[in-house]
Amino acid sequence: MNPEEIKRIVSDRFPDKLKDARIIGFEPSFIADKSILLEFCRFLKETKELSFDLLSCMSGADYPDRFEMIYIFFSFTHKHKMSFKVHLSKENPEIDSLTFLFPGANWYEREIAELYGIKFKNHPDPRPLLLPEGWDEGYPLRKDWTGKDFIKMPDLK
Amino acid sequence: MGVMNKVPVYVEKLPGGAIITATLDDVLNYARASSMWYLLFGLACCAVELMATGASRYDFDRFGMFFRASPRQSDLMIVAGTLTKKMAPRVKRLYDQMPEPKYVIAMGGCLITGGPFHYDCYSVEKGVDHIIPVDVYIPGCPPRPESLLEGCIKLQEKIKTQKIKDWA
Repeated sequence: MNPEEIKRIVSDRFPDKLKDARIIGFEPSFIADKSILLEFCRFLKETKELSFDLLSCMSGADYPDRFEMIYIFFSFTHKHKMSFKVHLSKENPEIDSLTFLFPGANWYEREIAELYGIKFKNHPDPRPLLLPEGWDEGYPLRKDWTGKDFIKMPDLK
Repeated sequence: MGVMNKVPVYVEKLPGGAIITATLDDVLNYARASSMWYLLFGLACCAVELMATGASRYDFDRFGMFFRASPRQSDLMIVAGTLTKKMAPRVKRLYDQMPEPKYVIAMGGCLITGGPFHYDCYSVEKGVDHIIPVDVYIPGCPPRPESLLEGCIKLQEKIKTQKIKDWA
């Protein structure tokens, strides 16, 4: 299915919860509202024409005014893909876990949770994944993070 | 291999053989410096250079150096590669498992100051000497096999200066 059709189907289904619908390369992209995440992903997975069956990438990002979650989906059936972002507040970054829909999200979410401090509601196994045992220095991929022997790059200008 | 041949000995010729007199220091140091078995232990890209040095083109074997896969049988630990904070306790444990006398070579920039990971990095230990004592530092990213050989010769020179009376 070509990107315009995907964009049209998805936008028609959630007209007021999706913003900034556009096509980057061959990839339709949206900014979704946090409240519809589970419903949205279920729709992407179970609609016959879309059938996005692989969550191929999932990232977090830290911006000055918000956290962002980025999801990229691929369909083995139709060989097409799409992506969407979700904006989260700085004060309370919290979002639903996708592990029940896409089991592959499990480790992605554990990694994002320990590196960015984003909470995933209803995650089945919310342990840290990669940081050393007994890590207590906070969330190292946040832009304002400093640790015990962290050395900031001096300004070379 | 000039370093190897400078053991001061006194040879008394007898019919059918000879008596060799030397100091215990020299004999022990000669034995230690000529068979430094190193721990097979690579952490990152420096390990590839270590493997190249161990293979036939650069040939560690002519120094009597040979890799052992167990810390219990090694005299020398060539720490090769980036030392992450998660790996640091394991390096300490492997060092503790080696029998005395034991030596450490820090190979590459990462193990001296953190190297390319010195600034803006949360996961890399900034120098292996925070964890274990180091005898020889070899700079480079990664060092050429020639540099590693040079470092090993320096370590042999260091071993040759040891004295039994300093053991206590």
